[in-house]
Amino acid sequence: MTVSLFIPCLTEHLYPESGLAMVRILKHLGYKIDYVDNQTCCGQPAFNSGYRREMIPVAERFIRLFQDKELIVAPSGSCVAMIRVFYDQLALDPSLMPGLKALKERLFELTEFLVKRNHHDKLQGCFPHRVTYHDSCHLSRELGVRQQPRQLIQSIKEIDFVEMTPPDLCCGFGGTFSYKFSDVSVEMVKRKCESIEATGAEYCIGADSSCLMNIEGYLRKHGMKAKTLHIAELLSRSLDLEKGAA
Amino acid sequence: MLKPRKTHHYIRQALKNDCLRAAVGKATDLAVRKRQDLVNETPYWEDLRHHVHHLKSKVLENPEQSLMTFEARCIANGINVHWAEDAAEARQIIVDLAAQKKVKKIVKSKSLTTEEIELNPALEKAGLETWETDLGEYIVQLEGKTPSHLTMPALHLSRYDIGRLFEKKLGIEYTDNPNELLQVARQRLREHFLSADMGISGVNFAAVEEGAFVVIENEANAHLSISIPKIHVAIMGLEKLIPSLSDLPYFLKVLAPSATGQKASSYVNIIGGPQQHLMEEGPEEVHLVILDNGRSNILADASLRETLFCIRCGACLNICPVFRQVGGHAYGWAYMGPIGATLIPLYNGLSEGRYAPFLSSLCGACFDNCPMRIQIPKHLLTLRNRIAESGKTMLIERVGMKIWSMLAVRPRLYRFITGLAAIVQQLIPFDKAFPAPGYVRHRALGRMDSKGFRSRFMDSEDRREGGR
Amino acid sequence: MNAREQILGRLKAISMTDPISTYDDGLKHRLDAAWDGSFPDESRRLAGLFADALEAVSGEFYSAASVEEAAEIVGRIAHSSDYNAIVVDGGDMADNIALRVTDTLQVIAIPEAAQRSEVLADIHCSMVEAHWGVAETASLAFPYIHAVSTQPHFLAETVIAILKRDRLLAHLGALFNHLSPEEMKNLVLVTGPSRTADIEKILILGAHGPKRLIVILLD
Repeated sequence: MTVSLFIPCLTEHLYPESGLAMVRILKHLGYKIDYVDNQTCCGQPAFNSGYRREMIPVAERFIRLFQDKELIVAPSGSCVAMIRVFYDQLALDPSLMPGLKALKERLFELTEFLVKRNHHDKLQGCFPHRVTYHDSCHLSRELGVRQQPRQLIQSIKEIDFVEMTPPDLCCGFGGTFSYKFSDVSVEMVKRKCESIEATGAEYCIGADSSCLMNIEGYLRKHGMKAKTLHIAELLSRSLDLEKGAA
Repeated sequence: MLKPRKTHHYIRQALKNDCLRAAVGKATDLAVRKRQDLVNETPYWEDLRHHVHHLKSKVLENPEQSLMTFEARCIANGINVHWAEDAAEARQIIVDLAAQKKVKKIVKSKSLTTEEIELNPALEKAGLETWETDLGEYIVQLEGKTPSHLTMPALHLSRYDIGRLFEKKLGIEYTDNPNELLQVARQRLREHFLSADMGISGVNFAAVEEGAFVVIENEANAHLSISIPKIHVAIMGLEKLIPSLSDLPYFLKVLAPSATGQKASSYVNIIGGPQQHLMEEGPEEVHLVILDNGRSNILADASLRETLFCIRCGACLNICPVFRQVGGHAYGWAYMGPIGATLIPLYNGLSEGRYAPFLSSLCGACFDNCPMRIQIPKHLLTLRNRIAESGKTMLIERVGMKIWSMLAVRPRLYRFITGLAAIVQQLIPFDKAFPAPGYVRHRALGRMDSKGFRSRFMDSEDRREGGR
Repeated sequence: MNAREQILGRLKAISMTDPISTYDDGLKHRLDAAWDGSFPDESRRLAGLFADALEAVSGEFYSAASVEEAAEIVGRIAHSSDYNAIVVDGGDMADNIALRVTDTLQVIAIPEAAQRSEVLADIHCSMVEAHWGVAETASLAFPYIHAVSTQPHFLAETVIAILKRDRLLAHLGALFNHLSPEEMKNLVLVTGPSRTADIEKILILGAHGPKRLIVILLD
């Protein structure tokens, strides 16, 4: 079976490693990989800032590009939610509606996909570290994906998984919110980072690079111990897939 | 009065005030926990949310008919119905009524609608002695400020603040013992209850079928201000309708847990007219002011109509990570928090309310907590869109978005520009290369990858290898 | 004034042909069944639920097998608080109980309307008879159509409410099913003593109303 990759902007430009880790996992599970060339952005930053007129052509382009793919997986809950949930709020070209409907049925966030296909049995690597998990807002609230990443994490051998309280508190990123109201955003990420630190975890696992970028930025600037790690990289490292490939 | 230019100033003030933030955090955490406990023991909670949403939809489906029926039933019950187009008219109706009835003293029970129309200054200007009787409102009135939370008006004040306030304004000896402070307020207000000529309250629900309205409270102040003075005036936004009192239990069942984490509020007062014929007590006259103040236009707006389903419980404030940091005054208006962020531009106009819908990280917790199932994040997005399209956002942002839009449909050019950006970021100390100083002051900025996923992936495929 | 016409005119222009929400007609039925289903039928167990709910809102619960026993409870409460007078609201049961406490307590009927508030504001204890009780929330319903005054419920420091066992209902929905339109239209529902948490979220009983609410469930 072939999986088409939907690579969010932050994965493309800042965190390619999490995308590559996803590719390794999918290959490890026997999937063929298809990279949809010429993909750009799903339009979320513009949509969230109110610029629908500007983002509609981008959204329409995205639908045309992906509508015929049999299976699409992305390492981001936020970008999947954009298409699955928020595209419905747009006044899109009506002729694209069947394409959007088809696309929504075949598009999955990585952890959702792995658990839905019962792959967690084949992903029992080893990672002898203490980790905690951050529920990103769109993944947990819009897509309802809360259990899947935890199931994947807990399948890993020797991992010491500790919940932070509360795990589904927003990290304060919110796209342009993080610079429009940066003072508020900083206080929010501070609270998040303190709850991460309280678990004593070495790694804060997440399934969205945007949250992880925000959290990592604060942790690093303030010399806090924990590091952030995308769940795709966690799985890839725990299975030693990098070494096998190198 | 909303002052949009002061938004950032209010936020900075709030963020500097650690006591305030600690108090807001503690109070909202408690409310969230108590609400969640009650929701957990109500397995049919989600059905309840759907049902109350439906009841509100039903009664507002034909608002003209519902209001006319409601008015007719109220009149039949002996309630005097007044209509007000806007805040000024509503204030005038009440001031005139007080003058006509030779009212000298008014006791008020908590009403957000009277905050919305800024009634108290108008009453005072007309020479009417007016007392807020809800403890929190009384404190805020003495302070000379406005409530900072929908259900916890004095959330921004500590007991020490209140002690100093009472010492200064009431001339009592300083105490910060909450019970002693309450006793002082209780004693003062008892006298006012017994000597007031008019009571003013808000309305939680207005039942069309019966022509009766509902006032919910915990302190007994609303009951006393309704039942002792000879004249009672209630003010309601025209969206407060529910189909019938027989639907009230469903609303009661969601309201108290969402508002205060109680299973039931202490007192639910249902007023279907002057009660004299029943008990030789209670008001001789009941007046009800039905306020529009922009609501009919919101009802006409199919995509945002649902914001009028709000029952002012404050559950969205309590769960909101942004509200927790900035408190209620930062929003600058009578309604605050996530629902306030939608109502501010709707009631005050897109220009005046241009910041409020952006004061959210869109995390969605408000929708999950809303007993009325109001899709607050969706409405914030709709409002952001309207604000952007009416040109109320910053020019640099508008131009930037145009350029982005042009690039994002031209992948090769897009790749070229983003590649260039990566190089530029490597050349310049990157924390300074980002046009958002606030972001990087307390956060390291992510570094752009020199090649990007696409090239790295293609390289690895070319070498028939996974990995880097 | 033409605000009315203006407002209604604008509302009339609103076309509401599209339903605001899609709604499953079976939902209300399912909801009612679930709400009903979470309560026992048996009155003994309802009394237990009522007592628990009342205590959860800082009310005090007693049950009495007879009017005499109820009178004894009332006497004890008054004695322990040094009350020497009690206002009684004129309900049959409350009156019956009042007749049996006259040797230790001065029983005061509801004063005339003109001086009612002033007189009642000085009395510390009152006895009222609830029309219905709700086990789920420990709420008491007082329809005004059956009342002489509501002020004893609010001005006294201690309120003793008499509730007959056959007047105990399971939940709020059931209560509104039992109330006639005339009863529900002028009504107060009372749940526990008056309270405030407006200072630092610290709960204090007896805000503007009673500090103690005592319910005597009478067989």
